[in-house]
Amino acid sequence: MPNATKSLILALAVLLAEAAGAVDEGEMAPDFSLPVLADNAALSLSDTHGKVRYIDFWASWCAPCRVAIPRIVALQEELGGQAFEVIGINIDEHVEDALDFAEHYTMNYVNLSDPEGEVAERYELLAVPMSYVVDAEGRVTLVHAGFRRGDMEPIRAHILELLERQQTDLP
Amino acid sequence: MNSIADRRPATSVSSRTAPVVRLLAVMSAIAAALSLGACASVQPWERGTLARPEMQLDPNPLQTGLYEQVYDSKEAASGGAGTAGAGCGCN
Repeated sequence: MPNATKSLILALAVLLAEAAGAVDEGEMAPDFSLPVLADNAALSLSDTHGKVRYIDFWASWCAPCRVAIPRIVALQEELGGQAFEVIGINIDEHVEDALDFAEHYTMNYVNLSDPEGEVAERYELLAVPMSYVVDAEGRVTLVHAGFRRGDMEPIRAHILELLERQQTDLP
Repeated sequence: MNSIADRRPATSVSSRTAPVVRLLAVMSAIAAALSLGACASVQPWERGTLARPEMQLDPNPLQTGLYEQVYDSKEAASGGAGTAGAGCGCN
């Protein structure tokens, strides 16, 4: 193969690698394993297989997270259980900041720590907060970037629809 | 005796397409070099560093406000650290 052609293929490969997109609706959610915040135990996405999951990437320095988190706490309070679970992924560099925040907002769901942003990078977040609804099979059914008042209603309706569909699919 | 034309290599398809391939390779290499430049954008999950107090233009706005008030009182020079009003002359 001529050198020029090799260079062309290499350059195109680099460009295509750079253009690889973020996790989108309809795709399988990439699996991850992260330590639980202030705990030695690790949790992976596959551990919760069979449940509908709401994955929320958040940080203590993120202002819209202060709007989102009380509503996510209410969501977990209402729907959390055998069929649904909220998984928070904190991307604070310092775990203490996240712990103070979690205590202040009495977060009632599992929070994982990703201080290096490895999982955030794999999901290629477009904003913080960023959330993903993942169905029981592990497929992303909803992607939501940022958070404003009133955003939780359509998310909740979508989760309820998934849970209902899951119930009717049961033998 | 061979003429100059006889000594010239026969033109093939590959020799004709080679300049085009080379041009494409150079253009792709330039595009790749530009995309791999040193100016990287800050990713959303990296913005925590920018939100830290030491990264602000004024790390302590409350203290600055107090100092400005003391300065205004002592020097009788209101608005020394900025402009007052919008140029309408009404304040």
